[in-house]
Amino acid sequence: MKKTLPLIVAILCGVLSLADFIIPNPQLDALGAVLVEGVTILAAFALLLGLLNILGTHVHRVATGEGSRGLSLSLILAMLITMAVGIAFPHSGTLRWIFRYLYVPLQSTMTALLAFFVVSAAYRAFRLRNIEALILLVTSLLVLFTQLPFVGAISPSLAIIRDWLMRVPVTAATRGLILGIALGTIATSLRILLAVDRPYTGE
Amino acid sequence: MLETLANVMNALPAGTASTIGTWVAALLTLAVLSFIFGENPAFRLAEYLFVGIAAGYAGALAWTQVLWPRAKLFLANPQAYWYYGLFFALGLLLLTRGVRSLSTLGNLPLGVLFGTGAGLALGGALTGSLVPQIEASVVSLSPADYGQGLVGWAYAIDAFILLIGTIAVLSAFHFTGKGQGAWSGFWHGLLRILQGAGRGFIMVAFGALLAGATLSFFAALQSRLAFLLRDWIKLFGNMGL
Amino acid sequence: MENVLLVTQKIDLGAWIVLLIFVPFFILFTLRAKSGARFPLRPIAAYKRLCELVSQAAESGHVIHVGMGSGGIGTPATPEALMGLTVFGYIARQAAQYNQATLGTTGDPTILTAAQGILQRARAEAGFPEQYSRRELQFYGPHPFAYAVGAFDSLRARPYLANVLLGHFGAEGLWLAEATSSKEMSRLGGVAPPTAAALMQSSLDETVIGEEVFAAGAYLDKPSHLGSLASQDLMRIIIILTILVGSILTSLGYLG
Repeated sequence: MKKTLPLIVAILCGVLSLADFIIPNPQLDALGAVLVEGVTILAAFALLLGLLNILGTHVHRVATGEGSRGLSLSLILAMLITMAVGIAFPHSGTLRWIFRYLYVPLQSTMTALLAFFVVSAAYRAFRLRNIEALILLVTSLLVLFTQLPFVGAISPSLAIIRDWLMRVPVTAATRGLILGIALGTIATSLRILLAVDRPYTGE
Repeated sequence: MLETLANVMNALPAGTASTIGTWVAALLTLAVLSFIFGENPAFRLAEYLFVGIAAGYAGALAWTQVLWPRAKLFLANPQAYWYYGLFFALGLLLLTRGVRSLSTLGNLPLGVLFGTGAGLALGGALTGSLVPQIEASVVSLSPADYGQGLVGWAYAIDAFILLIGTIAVLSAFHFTGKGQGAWSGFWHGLLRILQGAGRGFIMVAFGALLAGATLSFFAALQSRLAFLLRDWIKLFGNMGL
Repeated sequence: MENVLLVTQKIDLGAWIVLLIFVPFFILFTLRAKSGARFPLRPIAAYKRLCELVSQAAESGHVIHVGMGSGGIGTPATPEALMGLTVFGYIARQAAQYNQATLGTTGDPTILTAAQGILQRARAEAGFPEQYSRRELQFYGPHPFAYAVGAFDSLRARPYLANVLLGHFGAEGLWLAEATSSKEMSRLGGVAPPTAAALMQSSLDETVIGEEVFAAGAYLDKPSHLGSLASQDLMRIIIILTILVGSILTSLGYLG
């Protein structure tokens, strides 16, 4: 029963949500909407488990001194204070302040770091000196340089080449990639719906 | 105590909260950017604070936007919202994942998640990707369909490259291999050529995508530097420095 | 009658045709694979390297980190998330056999709950159920960058043999891959969407891209997945022929 019931439920939910996509029927639409609501609720419960995981990891570190006690403590406090204020006073000035002056700057500066990361990654990739790396280098430099304002004035033909690249080979490759990803997605989903894979049982 | 904490920013004199905030945001921005010079305690503190705040914020949203509003609806009208009760019960079963002896009870809600996700992904891939992309890949190769003279021919050649490129990239992912015989030899020879061309097309696309992503990352960096140079530096002026 | 016509028009005929062709072949090839038929596969360097690293880990006792990404189960990213879990399951089962540690990280709590089940079962099947430790699986909040910096912090704790990133990643994949580039470990993985794949490819030592991500099971330890790869290949040929024939007919003026 521990394995059969989840199996039946998985197949049933899968077939229902697929049917909602490919059969136009108001009852199926309603059932599909209920399932999406259900997934939202289950994801929220899973998040509670996830938060306990974070808390457990860092309480353990504080207790055993593994890693830095102070840093783990600051993480725990940041998490608990944000959550407590967010739940008890979701429209308070303090939550807005945390969001505006802590959350947003941290998140956007982590994104900004990618500017350095992408340059170092590209440099390493280009050092491989094979034909694929060369194609990658030439295309990315061409696309990058043609975005600069003065390049258009120096050579208008570079912008024409870039536009052609985007319209023809890049479109062709993206199309081929998306078709392949769709095939992989369909096969992987079918493996779940036809019970070839049963990851919900820990298999 | 929590109420005091929630109102502490409102209690401060006008402008103080934003001044403190700008200072904190600037110091955190510098702490994160300091990672380009290597690991250091300031970056680590920013890192831990970010994980804590992001987790706490997500937890608060999960409660205030997802769980509590639906729980209220279910408690107010259990007959109309019976399914919320069902999913809350499944959610409680999911929480047993944290207890080793009861862990298998979590298989049932996971079955709901995997089944629904597979159905959504399958439906989305069929109707949103595969069929529309096949339709879009069917193109006319006749110059007459694109215009007169050289223009028509140029577009027809573009359409041909588009067609061959799509087919080559799709072929580049062919997995299963070798049979025997003359036909099989021809097929695998053709496949090898297509796969080589396909890898070339993929690298062109990756180059263009990498360039696009690089530009967006530099835009993010520029916005952080603008914040430091504009909003933060302005505070020094206000202090009379 | 009008309603019936309207419903018929709304039905996605193309989707039905694909499904009606794909499913029978999928079942046929999967049954053949399950009954022991083998389909020879073209080599994929990243999966070959992963198998080597797992053997190396068994000999040396070093730990492999598996980053399973941020794609939620229950959302359309489920197949990619499942592939991250497949790779984690493969490594966890090998580690469990030798009673060695493993580390899985994720930015999605639904993946965490599924991975906990996989790890518990792997430990139980290897005969060491008491060795299951919740700390072998770590979640760092659902924000993609919070996940990246959290996983990066976990990788500081000890030397790791490899950093494997496979699943649903966006730009945080590049963050995590590149932040660990100075560390002495192999870095490999893959992601399906084109932009994320371009970023990963530029940073990792070995990558799988696009459709290759969904082939992880067949290349590692799930022979039953060979059937679905064979059906994908057959569908690929049918799609290519459809595009070619469609284009020829369009050029000759027989279609739109």
